[in-house]
Amino acid sequence: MKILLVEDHKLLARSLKQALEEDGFAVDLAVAGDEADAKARGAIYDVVILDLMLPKIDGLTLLKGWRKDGLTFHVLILTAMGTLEDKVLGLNLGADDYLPKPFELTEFLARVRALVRRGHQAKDPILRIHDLEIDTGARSVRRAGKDIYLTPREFSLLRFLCYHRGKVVTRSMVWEHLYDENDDNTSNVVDVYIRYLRNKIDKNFTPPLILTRWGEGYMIKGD
Amino acid sequence: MRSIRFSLTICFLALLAFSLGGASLMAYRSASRNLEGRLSIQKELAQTTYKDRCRDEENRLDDALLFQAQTLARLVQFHVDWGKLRYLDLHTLGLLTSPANSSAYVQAPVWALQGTRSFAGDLFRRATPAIRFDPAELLTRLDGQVAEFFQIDTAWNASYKSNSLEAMSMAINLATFAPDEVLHWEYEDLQLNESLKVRRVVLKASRFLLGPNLPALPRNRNPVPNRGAEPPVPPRNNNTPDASFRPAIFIQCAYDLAKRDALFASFAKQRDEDILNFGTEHKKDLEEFRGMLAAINLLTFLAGGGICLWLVRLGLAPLNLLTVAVSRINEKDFNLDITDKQLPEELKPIAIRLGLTLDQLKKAFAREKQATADISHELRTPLSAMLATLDLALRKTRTVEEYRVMLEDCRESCTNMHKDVERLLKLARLDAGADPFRPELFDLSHLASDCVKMLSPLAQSKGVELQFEGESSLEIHSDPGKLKEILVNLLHNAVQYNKPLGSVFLRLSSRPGSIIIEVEDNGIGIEASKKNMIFERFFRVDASRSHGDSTNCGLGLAIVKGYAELLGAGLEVTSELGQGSTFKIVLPAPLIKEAFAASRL
Repeated sequence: MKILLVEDHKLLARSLKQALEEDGFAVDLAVAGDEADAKARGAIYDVVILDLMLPKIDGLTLLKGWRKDGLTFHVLILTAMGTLEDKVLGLNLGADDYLPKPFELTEFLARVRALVRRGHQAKDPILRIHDLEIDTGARSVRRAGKDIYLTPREFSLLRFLCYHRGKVVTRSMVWEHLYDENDDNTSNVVDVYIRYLRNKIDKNFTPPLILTRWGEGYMIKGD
Repeated sequence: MRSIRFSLTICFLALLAFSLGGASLMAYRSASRNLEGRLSIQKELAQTTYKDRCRDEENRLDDALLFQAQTLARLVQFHVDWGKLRYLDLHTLGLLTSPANSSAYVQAPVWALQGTRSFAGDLFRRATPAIRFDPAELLTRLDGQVAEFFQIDTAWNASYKSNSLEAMSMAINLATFAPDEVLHWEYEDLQLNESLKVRRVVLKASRFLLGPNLPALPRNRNPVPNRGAEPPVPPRNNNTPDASFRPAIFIQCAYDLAKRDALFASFAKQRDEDILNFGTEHKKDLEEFRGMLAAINLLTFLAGGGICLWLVRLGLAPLNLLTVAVSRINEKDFNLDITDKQLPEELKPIAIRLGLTLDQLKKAFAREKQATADISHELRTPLSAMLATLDLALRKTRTVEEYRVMLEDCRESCTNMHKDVERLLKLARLDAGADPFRPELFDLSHLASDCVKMLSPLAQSKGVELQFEGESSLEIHSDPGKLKEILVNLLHNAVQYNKPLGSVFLRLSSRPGSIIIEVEDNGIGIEASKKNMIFERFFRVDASRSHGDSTNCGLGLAIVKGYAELLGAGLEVTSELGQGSTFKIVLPAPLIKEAFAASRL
């Protein structure tokens, strides 16, 4: 789950980025309009978090341009301008959600997760596969009634596989969705994390849920 | 003030009524005067007609009288008592009457009388023929004639009276009645007795002119003899008849004046009736005229009222248009929805002025909205950053180092917010006039070098050279707090928006009349189009809000401008894009000296 955070206030950007990463999202950061535009068009994002008052190009202009060019990622507008007109205008221009500043971090995260779910046509925040339960809201994982602790990276990888259950997920897909621009693109990092995940989820349980498709990638069992 | 429509209508109608009233009054007066004139002419005419009729009637009666007298004169017969005549007399008479010619017969006695008066006189005196009439002829000839009374007198005392006269007689002095005339007549009114007044004609004719010999008398006799200057026309001889002998007879005919008066009365009645009719007609005409005038006035007034309403509506239509356009204006739409073509010349200045004002208002609204948004942004963003950081810190147990970093971040954010809030409060106080000018005596050079020292660390970190040039001591009387604020803000901007290895100079120079403070940098400069906007609140040359190093949210220059105005100082900026900017403050020196002197006193 990859998120583009467009925010020019350094402290706010840093804190939000950290919070999202702790929730298992990969976060790219843009501090100016032009930079945000380049990044949004250059990579695949599940959600873009957009501040409206930006240097160079303002947020609404960016949004309009993206929607016009057929970019379909979800956009959460994050701005200090919280009047009804501003909200209506933002939503009418193609935003999916609107959060006026100042806000509670928990609400912000909940809204981001909701947008992610919406992107995968999932309403239930708890993903269930066989005896595996993934609570995306509480960020907890259980298998056969047993709590399993996952690091944010492992959690986001599992969540990504679950959202694409029954389909093959290639390494590059995983890479694009789960790693931010600052991560080193070493060839086997996905394989390493898959091994970690298998150790925690499939070891000691049957049947194994994470399957390997040689030459293609990985997939998690459908249903 | 009442509505224009109402006032105009009332004024117009009043004017219309006034002019209509005036015109009507004049028309009525002139018309009634004309009618009065006509009436008086009619009355006069009636009177004249009446008089004419009376005179005609009188003349007719007079003619009738005369005609009757003539008739009588023709009918008169003399009865001679032959016994009284002597032979000689008869002989003479026979001799004289021998010629067959009747005119000779008449002329002869005249001649004889003229020639031998004593003889003719004697003859007539002795004969004294009595007067007679043939009663049958008299009846037929006088039937239906005017005169009721007649009386015949003669010079020889023979007389005859009509029966109608009874005991009365018409008095006449035979001796004095036209003694020189042979044929003569006169008219006269005569009081017969107390109750009877008559008009008579007295016809004097010679004895020998009577009967068939009486010449035809003129029917029209104007003026009446006796009353006129000329005596009657009958032929007369050169020889004057003898006064002592008058062989003439005097025939009088008369009618009762009451008859004529009754006729006159009927004429008068006719005249009075006519006059009365004229009066009625006059009144009717006046009434008709009044009615017509009223109808015309009413119609004109109504038509005028209609035209007035139409005109007023026509005149006020553009005003209504403007009113509608103005009433459509609201806080969301400041456009005056009206074109120049729709308005008359008189209203155009209003519409143009209104349009300009609305434009300004629109801009002010937009500025206000922008300022509110800016303030919101400036305060809410750091606030939400702190909130997010604190939420993040509290989310789970973290290491001491992590907590420390987060708390430091929060503190920095707090400090920045504090600065922004202070700036906003400064501007608010300035706007409210709660920040007065607090002058005191101080050393401007000292203050300036303090400011330079204060910003040196920032300049060093940016690699910018910061220098102060000017006198070592310059005492002035002004508000040091505000001047310091101005200098710090200008210097901060100069350093902040400078290129690495750039330089900033603060120069002080005193001139007669003023002290000049210049802050010059060779930084990025300002676009010419934005030069006037840099002093607006929240304005930034580049909309870039680089919060990381933000100690400036676009309020610094607004504060500088406000304070400069408060100090009475001039503020100028010259700049070239890419070359650098110079901000120049001109402190008025006379003010300084005077204030200084005032403070000393």
